[in-house]
Amino acid sequence: MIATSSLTKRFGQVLAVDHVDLQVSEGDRYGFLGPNGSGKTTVVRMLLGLVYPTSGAIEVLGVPVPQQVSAVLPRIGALIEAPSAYGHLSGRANLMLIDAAGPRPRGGRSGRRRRVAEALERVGLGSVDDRAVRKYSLGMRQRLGLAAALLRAPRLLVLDEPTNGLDPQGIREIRTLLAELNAAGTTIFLSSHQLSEVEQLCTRIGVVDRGRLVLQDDLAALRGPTGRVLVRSPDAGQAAALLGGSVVHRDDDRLIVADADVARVNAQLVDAGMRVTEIGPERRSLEDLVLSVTGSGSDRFGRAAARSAGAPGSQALVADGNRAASDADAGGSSQ
Amino acid sequence: MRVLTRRAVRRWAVVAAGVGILCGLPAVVAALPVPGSELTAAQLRARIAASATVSYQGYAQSYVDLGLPSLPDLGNVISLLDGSTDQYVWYRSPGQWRADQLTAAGENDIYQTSRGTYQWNYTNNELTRVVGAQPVRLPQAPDLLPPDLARRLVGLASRATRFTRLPAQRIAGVDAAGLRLVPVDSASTISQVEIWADPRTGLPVQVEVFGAGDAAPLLVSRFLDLSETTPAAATLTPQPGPGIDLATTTLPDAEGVLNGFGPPLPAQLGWIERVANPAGLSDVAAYGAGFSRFAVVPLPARAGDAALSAASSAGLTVTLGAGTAVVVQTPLIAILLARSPDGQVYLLTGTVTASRLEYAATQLLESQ
Amino acid sequence: MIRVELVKLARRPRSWVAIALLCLLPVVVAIFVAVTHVAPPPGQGPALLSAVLSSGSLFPAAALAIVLPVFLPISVAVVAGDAIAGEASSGMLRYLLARPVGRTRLLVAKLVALIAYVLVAVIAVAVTSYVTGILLFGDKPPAALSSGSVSTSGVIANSLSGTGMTPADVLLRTAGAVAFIAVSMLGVGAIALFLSTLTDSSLGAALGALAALIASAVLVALNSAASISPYLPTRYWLSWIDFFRQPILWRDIDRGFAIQAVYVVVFLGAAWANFASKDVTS
Repeated sequence: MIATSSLTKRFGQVLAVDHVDLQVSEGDRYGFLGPNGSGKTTVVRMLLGLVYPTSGAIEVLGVPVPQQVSAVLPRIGALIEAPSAYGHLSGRANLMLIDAAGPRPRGGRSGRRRRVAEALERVGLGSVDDRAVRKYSLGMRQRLGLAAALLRAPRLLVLDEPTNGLDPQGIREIRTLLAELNAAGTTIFLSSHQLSEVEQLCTRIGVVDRGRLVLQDDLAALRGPTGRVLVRSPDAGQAAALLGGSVVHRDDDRLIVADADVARVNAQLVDAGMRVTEIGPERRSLEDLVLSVTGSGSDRFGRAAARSAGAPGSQALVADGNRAASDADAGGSSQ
Repeated sequence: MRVLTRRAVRRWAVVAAGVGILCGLPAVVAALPVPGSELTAAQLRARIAASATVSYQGYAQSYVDLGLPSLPDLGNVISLLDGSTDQYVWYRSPGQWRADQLTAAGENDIYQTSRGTYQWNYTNNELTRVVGAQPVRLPQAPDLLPPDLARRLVGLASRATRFTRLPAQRIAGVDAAGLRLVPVDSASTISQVEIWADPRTGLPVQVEVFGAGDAAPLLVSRFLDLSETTPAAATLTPQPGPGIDLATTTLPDAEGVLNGFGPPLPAQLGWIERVANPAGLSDVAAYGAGFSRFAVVPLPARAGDAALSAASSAGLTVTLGAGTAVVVQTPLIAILLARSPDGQVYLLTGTVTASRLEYAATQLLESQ
Repeated sequence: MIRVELVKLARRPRSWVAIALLCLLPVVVAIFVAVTHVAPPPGQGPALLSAVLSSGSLFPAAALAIVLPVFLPISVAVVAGDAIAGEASSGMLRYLLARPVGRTRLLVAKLVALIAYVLVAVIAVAVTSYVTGILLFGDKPPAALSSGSVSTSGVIANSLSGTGMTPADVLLRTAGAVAFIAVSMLGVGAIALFLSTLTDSSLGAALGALAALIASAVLVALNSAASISPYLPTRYWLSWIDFFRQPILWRDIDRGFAIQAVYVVVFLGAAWANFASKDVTS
């Protein structure tokens, strides 16, 4: 669906995107994560032929971009950074103009009114009045932007922060809508810095930091068990003594045990008469993962981020991320 | 991707090439070889002198910058000799032509017809018919047209003027043959005159007058557009619209003002001979020969005093025997205003040096 | 895309406000002239304004002369400067291009919309001022002023050359002047359009184009720059007056058309070369 190889973009002296190899397959719900200013938006713009790469190749829907970008754009719906509209016109008039611009759509002019009505209906603006977009709330604008992206029943949706400005109810609606579209065969490429949004919607993520793709994998694989067991126990001290060398880390009543078998650890503890409040396989949250591989600029992660930025590939980075996470944990416990 | 940088370079190259072609086109046209003419200087001179019968219509521009002081009653003349004058001319024959002096938002037209001369002035919304011959008049815009100016200059040339040929030049679409006139008389401010004319008809298309020691011409008059065709008769006749004032005058400018003041002028000023007298005028005279010619005009008392005080701010005051004078020297012409002890003011002006005018004025005041 | 651009321009209130203001100024001038009966002397002030007192049918041309030097170029520069920069700053440019609208197509559509705007503006000024002129000054042949005056039937106004003009004559000449002035504005428009692809600030693009115009006007007035003046965009702006000479003096009119065509070609080409290769980061 989307494949880039060694995609690089230089703005003067600044290296905005540095040898990025994206792989998005048909039907993916791809979450493209990264802190602000990490080059996410530049990548999105390059995918859409708005910004021309300095080097590297892009293929979208099997077509080289930007060389033949006009052949694929009609099959892509896009929401790039913020939604935009002509403020003095109504939302409906805006969509009519957007629909009229560009190559002749399948339904022709006659189908325009219907297409616009459908798109508005889908994003929950079906009964919006004729007020100018200038008077819209941020959430309404966001919905309007989505409607514009959906106008032509795209095969690929490229969305940049689509739930920005929406209330929790709205976020949920949009998430449901995207899931529906995806189920119907639309590939979704969602660029965001909101982890929860990506976590709840996406099946695959790519993390970009300072222009480099530092992580790209299926979310399920990333969030699989780490091979360690997390134990909470009021008798943490005794438990640590009992488990001996396999305890990697202790934090008050919390123990991390280097053992993949939860049942065996549990049995061991219970046999020894220890009280166990909570036990289970350790899973890393997406937040931990992303923070571990990106430089957020905070002091706390300064060291780790510096190291991970120098790492060469995504697989190695996962390992590197593990180390960084334990380092961070250790740092936390020493305070 | 390099593809795209190359594409950008190619786009700009296309635009740059387009700009280059557009800018280069005039230069290329100008650089095209101009066929020369086999005419000798004397033949070309003769053709120019006889070109008054050639019909033409065209757009002429003349540029003079003499930095003249403003003199009362001479405003129109001074504006002709100071800055550029644009004219459109339709010329059928010496007795039938029309010249429009074009301004940004109006025009002053002169029609020469068999019924007399008409002058249309847009500013005054007035058409004036001039009846009768004008033995003498102030310079007017058509005098600056290349054919008129060239024929006048060729006519002024004396036996002492050297004529040589110049390489051909393309002017207003005419492959024009060049003729250079160099006066030998050192008293003239004109060091040389270059005239380009259509070698077939002799119609002058460009005139350049050079002052002594100047690389750039002091006066340039040339056609920007020219077609040697006969203009339509309807164009040559004034057809005033409604509401336009019609006036008739016998002598519009110089003669009425100039005649009848002061004593008659002598036949010689020292060794300088007087040129044949214009009919009907005893008080205005031209002296000298070739390009070192000048006019002597006695001014009426009030006009004379006003002119003197206007000129004294721009010129040099000198004492000439019993009288005084103010001299203004421009690169091309000199003006001298002399006041005799009895209060008579004379205007001496021409394409001569100030010292020649001072000599003439001294002789004039002594002869009175 | 052209239709879309025309609709956008037409539905923008600002376009109509600018045209209304353009039309208003000559009306104000006409009212003052009609009330006081004092027009600037012929050959001074706005061209033909003095002739209006005797024939209202010349007022469209005089009105164009009033708006030509400043107001018309400003409104054209603002519209043209907004063309790409305005889309960029409103964020719509990226959505249009992702539609996709070809970049060259977008430029051409913007130029066509600009031409339409200039035509509508100039014709609106001509029509409103014609109505104003007829209402305030009448279209009767001017009365004979003195005993020597000529009276000619069927003639409603005089040309600069003092000849009479019939209504058809005035209409044709005014139409010629309207077309010439509209074309004269295209050079400014093309410059502003080019600047509009360079910057995301429509105001900057408009001011840049106006600065170019002012520079051109200064150079045209400068004798020592005479060698380049035939190539300056404003050199032939005032030549529309040549439509009101008898015979019509085509020389400068032809050159005016030609130089504007050159400016449009060059700056549209530059705008294309720049815009088609540009990263859109707005």
